[in-house]
Amino acid sequence: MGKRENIVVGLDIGTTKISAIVGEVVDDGVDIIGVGTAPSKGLRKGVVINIESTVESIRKAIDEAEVISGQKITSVYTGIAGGHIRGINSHGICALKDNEVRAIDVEKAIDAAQAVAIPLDREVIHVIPQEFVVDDQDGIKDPVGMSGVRLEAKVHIVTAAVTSAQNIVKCCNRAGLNVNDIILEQLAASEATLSQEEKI
Amino acid sequence: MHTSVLSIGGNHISNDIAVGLRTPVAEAEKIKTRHGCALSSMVGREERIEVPSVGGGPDRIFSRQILSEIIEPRVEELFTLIKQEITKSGYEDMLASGIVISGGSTLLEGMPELAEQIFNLPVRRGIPKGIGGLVDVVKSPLHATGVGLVLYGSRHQGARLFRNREENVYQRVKERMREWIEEIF
Repeated sequence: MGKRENIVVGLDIGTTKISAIVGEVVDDGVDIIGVGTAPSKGLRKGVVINIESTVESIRKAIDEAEVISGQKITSVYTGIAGGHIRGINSHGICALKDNEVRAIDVEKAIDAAQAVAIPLDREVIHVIPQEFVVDDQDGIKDPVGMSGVRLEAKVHIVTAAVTSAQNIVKCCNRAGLNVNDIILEQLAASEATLSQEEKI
Repeated sequence: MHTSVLSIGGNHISNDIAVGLRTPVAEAEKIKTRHGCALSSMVGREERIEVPSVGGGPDRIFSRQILSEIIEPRVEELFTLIKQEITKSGYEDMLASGIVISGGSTLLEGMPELAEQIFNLPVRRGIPKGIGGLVDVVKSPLHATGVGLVLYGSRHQGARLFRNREENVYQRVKERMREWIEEIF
């Protein structure tokens, strides 16, 4: 089996089925080159309750995807779901030097927005910048280069139970896979199904 | 933006069918995907289905109407809970584009129709798009999350590789010092 550079694998660990989808990044987007599915046995309500059977199902789905795509799969992007997911809105402020927004100011404002009390048993999965406010002007998507004295970032923070996320990583590792990133399943689904106008 | 997860899914529907028609859960799952309908008014009165018994008894014949009368209340409950969640989020009046449903359960016949009745908004099934290659295989709401993970991965891969390049210690120190100096002036 070959190993190409630009391969991205999505592993959807669901309650009913587990599916592995292999995509190849090409110039004008992504080509799907392999799909593998297996019935899921070790989950309830989106959360891993049996590591052994989950690993087995993951292996089955990955093996199938490897055969179809002809690629060796070593790392995956995987999803997370379940009743433990919470979303909160937060905002952070940064004073602007030189009366102009620089990329580093945007980072600082987003970092400041992340300064919320998150219990030890939860971890941040996503920090999604929604809009920026420069002085009193709101609704700004990309503030870099704008003039102003004060930058405010409005972000949405998604957190999950640490143990649930760890169990997913553990299952993937035991199946011989590295996890590149854990993504909220709804967010992933929206990435694939919504048009640009619908996202706004 | 608002995120919320309800722990109700397709396997609840299968369990309901298993209990209601007295059949094993695995069979209930098959019956659901083959004959299930979320809106009982969409089912013809004469349609019949065969249901295997628990413990290998003879198959029994039920009307498809009964099956959809088991599914409908559960799906209705699910959508009502989602509606309450949307009301709680305060974004109720801003959903002009409507609602997109995804996942294997949404393949059930009548699912978007029932959702439209409850939400009073346009509802469609989310079919993965923006991809090439084996499109026919993944062109189903069943694969929305999987394809989405691939797309998310491909879109965020560049940023990650970029960050890795900066892991070089000298680069990082230089970068940090540049930031300090910028801070001072």
